[in-house]
Amino acid sequence: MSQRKFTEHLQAQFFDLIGGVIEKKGRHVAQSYFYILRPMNDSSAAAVSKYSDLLAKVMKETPDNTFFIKLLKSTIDDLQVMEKGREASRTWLS
Amino acid sequence: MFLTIIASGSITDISTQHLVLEALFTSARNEDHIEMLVKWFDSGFVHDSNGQKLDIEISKKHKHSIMERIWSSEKMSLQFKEEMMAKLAKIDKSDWLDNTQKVCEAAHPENKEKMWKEYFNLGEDSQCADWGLLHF
Repeated sequence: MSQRKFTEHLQAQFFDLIGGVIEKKGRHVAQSYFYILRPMNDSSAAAVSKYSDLLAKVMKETPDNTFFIKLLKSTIDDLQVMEKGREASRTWLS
Repeated sequence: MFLTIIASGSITDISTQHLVLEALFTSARNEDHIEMLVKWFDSGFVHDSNGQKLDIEISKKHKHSIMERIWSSEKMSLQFKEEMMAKLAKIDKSDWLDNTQKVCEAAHPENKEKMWKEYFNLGEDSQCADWGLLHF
């Protein structure tokens, strides 16, 4: 079954909690947490802005945390590519 | 689509059949599909869309995959899911069972919030600590 409707309301917490995991856990664990739990269902501009806001916060507060910054930047890239693909599909189907 | 491919009999190679079946299980996204898989689990064989038994056996590994789909069901009761898990535990007590039990616990719709809290409970009292998830 699609689990999206059960997890959607929890996903906003990801942006508040992932920083703590990155800070406390080693690279391998933190990376697994990030990639497994990051919300990727929605590729709209509003969803991308959640990552952009977190990226801006991290770059301001801990600019040396390149590991976290790279994770966020790559996710924004992934979502933008996904959105382009979805847009192309919508155009093709219309 | 995957059932049509399997039922056509065009795939005779066992490992290819296995892969197509795994793809079929992953694609089982509604309650009708899951009910069909329960039937397959109990009979031990694949059935076509008319319910006709095919000469394709459901392996232990397949049963683990089916169990994960069963536990993601919204309509099936927890009691039924536990009964199905008990059936699986009777036929396989390997490491797969432990893994499947954990996946199923997280797949059960009512457990989503509980599991999310567990993931972010980084203390040693976390259930995830036993999984080795917090160590590297």
